[in-house]
Amino acid sequence: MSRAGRSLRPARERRPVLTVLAVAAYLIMLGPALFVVAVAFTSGSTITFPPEGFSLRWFGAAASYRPFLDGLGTSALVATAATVIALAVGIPATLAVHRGRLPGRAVVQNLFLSPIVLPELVLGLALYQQLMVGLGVTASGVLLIGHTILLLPYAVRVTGASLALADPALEEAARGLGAGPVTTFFRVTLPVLRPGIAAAAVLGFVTSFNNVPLSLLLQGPGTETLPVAMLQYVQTSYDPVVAAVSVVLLLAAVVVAVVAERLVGFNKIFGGIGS
Amino acid sequence: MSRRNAVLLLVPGLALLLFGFLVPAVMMLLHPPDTPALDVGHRLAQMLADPFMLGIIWRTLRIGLIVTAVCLLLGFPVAYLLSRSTSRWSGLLLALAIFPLLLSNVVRTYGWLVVLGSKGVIAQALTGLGITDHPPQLLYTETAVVAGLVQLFLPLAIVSCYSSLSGIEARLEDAARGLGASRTATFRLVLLPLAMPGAVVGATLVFAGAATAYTTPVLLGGTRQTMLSLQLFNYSSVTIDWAGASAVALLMTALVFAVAGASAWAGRRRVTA
Amino acid sequence: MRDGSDAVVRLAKVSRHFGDVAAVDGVDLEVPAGSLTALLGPSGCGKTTTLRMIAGYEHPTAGQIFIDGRDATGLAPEKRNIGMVFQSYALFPHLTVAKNVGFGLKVRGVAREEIRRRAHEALELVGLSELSGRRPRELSGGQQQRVALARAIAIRPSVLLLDEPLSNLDARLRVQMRAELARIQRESGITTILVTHDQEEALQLADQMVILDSGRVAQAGHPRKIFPAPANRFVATFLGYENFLTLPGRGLVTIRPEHVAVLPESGTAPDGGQSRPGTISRITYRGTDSLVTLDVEGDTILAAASDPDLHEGSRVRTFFPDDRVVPLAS
Ligand SMILES: Nc1ncnc2c1ncn2[C@@H]1O[C@H](COP(=O)(O)OP(=O)(O)OP(=O)(O)O)[C@@H](O)[C@H]1O
Ligand SMILES: [Mg+2]
Repeated sequence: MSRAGRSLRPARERRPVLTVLAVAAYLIMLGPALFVVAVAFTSGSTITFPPEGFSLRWFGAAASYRPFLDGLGTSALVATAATVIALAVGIPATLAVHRGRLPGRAVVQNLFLSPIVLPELVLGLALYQQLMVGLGVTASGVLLIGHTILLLPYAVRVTGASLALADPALEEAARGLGAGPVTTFFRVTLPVLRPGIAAAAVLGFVTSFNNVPLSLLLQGPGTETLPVAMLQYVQTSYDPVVAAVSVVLLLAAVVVAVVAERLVGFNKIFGGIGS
Repeated sequence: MSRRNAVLLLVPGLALLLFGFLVPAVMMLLHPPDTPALDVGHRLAQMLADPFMLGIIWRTLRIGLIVTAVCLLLGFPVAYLLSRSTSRWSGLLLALAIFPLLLSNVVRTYGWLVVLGSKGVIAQALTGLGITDHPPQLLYTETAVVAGLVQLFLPLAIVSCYSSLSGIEARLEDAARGLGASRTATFRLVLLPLAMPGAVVGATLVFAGAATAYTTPVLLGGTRQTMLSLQLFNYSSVTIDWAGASAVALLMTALVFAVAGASAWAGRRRVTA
Repeated sequence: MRDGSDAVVRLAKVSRHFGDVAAVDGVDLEVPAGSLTALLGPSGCGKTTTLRMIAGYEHPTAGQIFIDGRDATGLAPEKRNIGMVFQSYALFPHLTVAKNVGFGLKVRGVAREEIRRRAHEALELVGLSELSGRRPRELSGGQQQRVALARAIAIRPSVLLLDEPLSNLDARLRVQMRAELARIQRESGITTILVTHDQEEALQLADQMVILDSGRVAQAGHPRKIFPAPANRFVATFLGYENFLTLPGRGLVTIRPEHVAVLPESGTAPDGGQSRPGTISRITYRGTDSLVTLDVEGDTILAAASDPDLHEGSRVRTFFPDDRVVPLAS
């Protein structure tokens, strides 16, 4: 995270307009989540504020609602698999682009980043139409392909950023010292890339886990993800079960944030700041 | 690394991109299932002549632009204050602004049901304070959609503005003030032109996200506030009108590209002016 | 409210505390019209903070600042009519050289033609008028520095503030720009305050030298007055004096190496000074003479000598002439 140097501005200078706007921004970003937490503990049976009484009944209800449990399993599985595949395909591509002295490497790199410019809903439609309906690929297969395509640009960009920072002379030095290309990759390149890979993995998992548009269009029997199950629940019922699920996900996000901070730096991974 | 090895390393990725992205995307336009060739073009022409569809396009554009403007208006000050702060809390505040990106859009949008619902925070506050017995309908309005999307995309606006603002030396503002520029003049003549590239990137990302979002409009706008994204879902999963869905996908993508191009152009003009 | 003195800038008991740190501590300072005042001292002594307070970027925790005779203590920077040149130059990267120089005039609402003319004039003064269409990143460090100077001068400031303007330049360019700076200041006649930690720069340029020690003024005056007569050991050390010893009846004194005489051990002591026995510990040949390091009763003394008969290890008599010895307040 870079800082533009110590400001010379006198301490007594206030910026009331900027401060009011900034406070409003934080209220809008975080305020609704706070109300969700309050509502999750209501003992009433509708979304009402202030909550009527205190109970944990909605947590119990959420834990015994099958679509949520199944969805959680599906989401975790898809997110893990898509992240692993995106990295397994993306890291070699990154290496080729950065170290391969290929002609037109900018074109290749942009090709790998290109899925990001297509709206997710459009990507979902294309895969649904062409692969699932057109070619008859199974729903779970297309879901996995879709999520992997979604994560590929992140994998290539984030690992590429850390590879660009690494000195190619490191690898040349290792080769000069007698290490073969494979040894060099596992002993030198991979350790250099580790922070980038960790960042890409966390970012990828979270992105896939939370995705709605792809998962919604590509759902089939047994491939409903948790966010989609929640979305469908909210559209049909007005009780606070989803508030309870939200609180659980909020806590999970806090855990992820703390882990991310330990691994590479939270702001770096999710803000793309300084990468 | 030899060139041959480099190409071999690219093969799996290229195959995936081809099979899982490029070919389906092109085929979606050329040949949707159960549709005669070139039907997408006909559907597109029909849509552009249909007042109902034009209304949806206009609403999508309008909501996207309003959300983008509000996100910049609120996000820029946050980014500015954080980039200039020497407080040890600024890192945490930045993290708090980014944190929502870890949560699903469903979770984030759900909060607005609690705030705007008929027994939600605002309605209860209005009746509780005796201001009115019949609080206005807040949910399923365009305002609700805008509020939800602003919440969703503020972090993106903040991050884009922050990376560009933190690269601007604070001394430049001091120099401008010393030369006699007021705070507003400093903002207009120094800060804004220098922050423009980041703001343009932020605006483009926010618009692309807001104009193509599905979760938030469907939860907060209901069926009356249809946007292109809802229409796409409708064609593809309810009425199974493949050519229609493809045409809407094309419209949506074109809209995003047009606005991205326009904002890049406007940003460049502003800087060189 | 005018203060009744003819100084362009006057500081009255100005202090600036950052928490427990007194960056500037009760500084009194008068900068006469048209003069060049050098603020100097070691790193962290409060030079930049003092300059920032004059410019209005920082506010004193105590004391008052007068500019052009008016109390400017709480005034915003843009209301002070000062021209500041930053150590990092702070040129606007999105503007051409000409627009950078014209910036202060533009925000003052000066007519376009007039801005062009005065920007050109300022650029002529620093010798850069042919580069007016370039962007800052297309300039060398020395050129950027001169643009920054032109930008500050163009607004015809009451006072020009320079924070270590030459420290980012390489040694040769620094000497060249130093002469240039002296010329520009003389030609424009602008009252100038220059911050530096280079005593040579200050001696060469300044009409008034103000030496700061931990936020306080250690000594102030014309270089010709201060250099031969540093007030205390801190100032003497800072000005490059290296010999410190205590002489009977004179207390702590300092003396320049070329004024210390090295005499044979056996000869009689001359009048008009004090002599002490010493041992030569090292001789460093310097061409025209040699620098002799002596151990004089435990004090290390440097002397410049050209006598070829001196050898390392020789016992000698050192002589300190009364009229060359500078007494110091301890
Ligand atoms: N904003 C600040 N917050 C806390 N302490 C500060 C601040 N600005 C300056 N100081 C402290 O005040 C003292 C004087 O700083 P100042 O920058 O004026 O020194 P200086 O003489 O310009 O040094 P240098 O030659 O290194 O530039 C230092 O101890 C510095 O750490
Ligand atoms: Mg300084």
